[in-house]
Amino acid sequence: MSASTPEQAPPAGSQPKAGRLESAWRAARMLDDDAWRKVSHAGPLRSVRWLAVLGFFIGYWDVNGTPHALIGWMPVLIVAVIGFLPDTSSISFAGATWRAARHEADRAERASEEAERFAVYVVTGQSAGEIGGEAAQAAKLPAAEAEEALAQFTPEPGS
Amino acid sequence: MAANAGVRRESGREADPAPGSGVLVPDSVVSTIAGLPADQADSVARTILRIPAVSAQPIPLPVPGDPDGTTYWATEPPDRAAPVVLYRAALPGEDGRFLVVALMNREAFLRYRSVANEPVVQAVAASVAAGRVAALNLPAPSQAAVLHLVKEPTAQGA
Repeated sequence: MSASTPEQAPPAGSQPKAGRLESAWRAARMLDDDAWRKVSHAGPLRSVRWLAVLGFFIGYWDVNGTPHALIGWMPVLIVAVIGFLPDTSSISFAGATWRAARHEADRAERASEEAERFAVYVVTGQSAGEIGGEAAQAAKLPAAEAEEALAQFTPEPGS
Repeated sequence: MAANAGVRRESGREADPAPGSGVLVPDSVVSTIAGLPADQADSVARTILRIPAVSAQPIPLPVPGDPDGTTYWATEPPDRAAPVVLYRAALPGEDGRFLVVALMNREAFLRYRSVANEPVVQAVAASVAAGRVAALNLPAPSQAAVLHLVKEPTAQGA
């Protein structure tokens, strides 16, 4: 199995055929688009795709019975590939590997989220550490009874 | 961490003296309160005066030199803009019953509370706290040495 990179243009041909090919090509490229990736990977849509494939398989079997030749399963195979392709991160066959751009995008996104989380941990830990140091010093400083020390901040009503 | 996890209410304990009595406030905390707007200072002061009869939650705070098992408590004053009060029970040998140890910016407190159990956060906090205490406790010769190093380039340049 081989796959072209998204940058490669579709082959030129007769006008109607070329138009259809270009539409198909654009549709195929959408599979690697970030927005499409997020929508297609969302839980409900993924479940719908998988259920649709399963439904098609059962319906096809129910209507046509068990095909006598392997070629008879072709429609099911095509629908299954279309249904599962958005969840595929890479395909390897005969030493050739096709890796979806979204696979790298997912990794980059995860790494970015990890880095952001780590930065929050460090900043938060730092501020807590400063408070901890302050607390250690507070125990050594002169301290006064709260009632006496804080009276100036709690004026009586009307005073 | 749930917002009210571990919240305690000590009001109603018959053996407790009046709230606020036996609560010590170090000068550093008094100075911090003095720097707050009047309404926030009032809110913080009144909260401290209600310790321990105040809603509080335990918070893990790495403080160098503390004995194991020392628990720190955080209580939020009613004024949402006021800082959170951190305090603990007096340790053996200390005066009073409770010691207010610090005030913490509320936003920083909420952020810390949500990730306080992360080992990375605790490791960074312990390291910063230890470093801060160590820096403040530099012995006199070290301070002199640092001053000497700072002044040295000026002397050479002169």
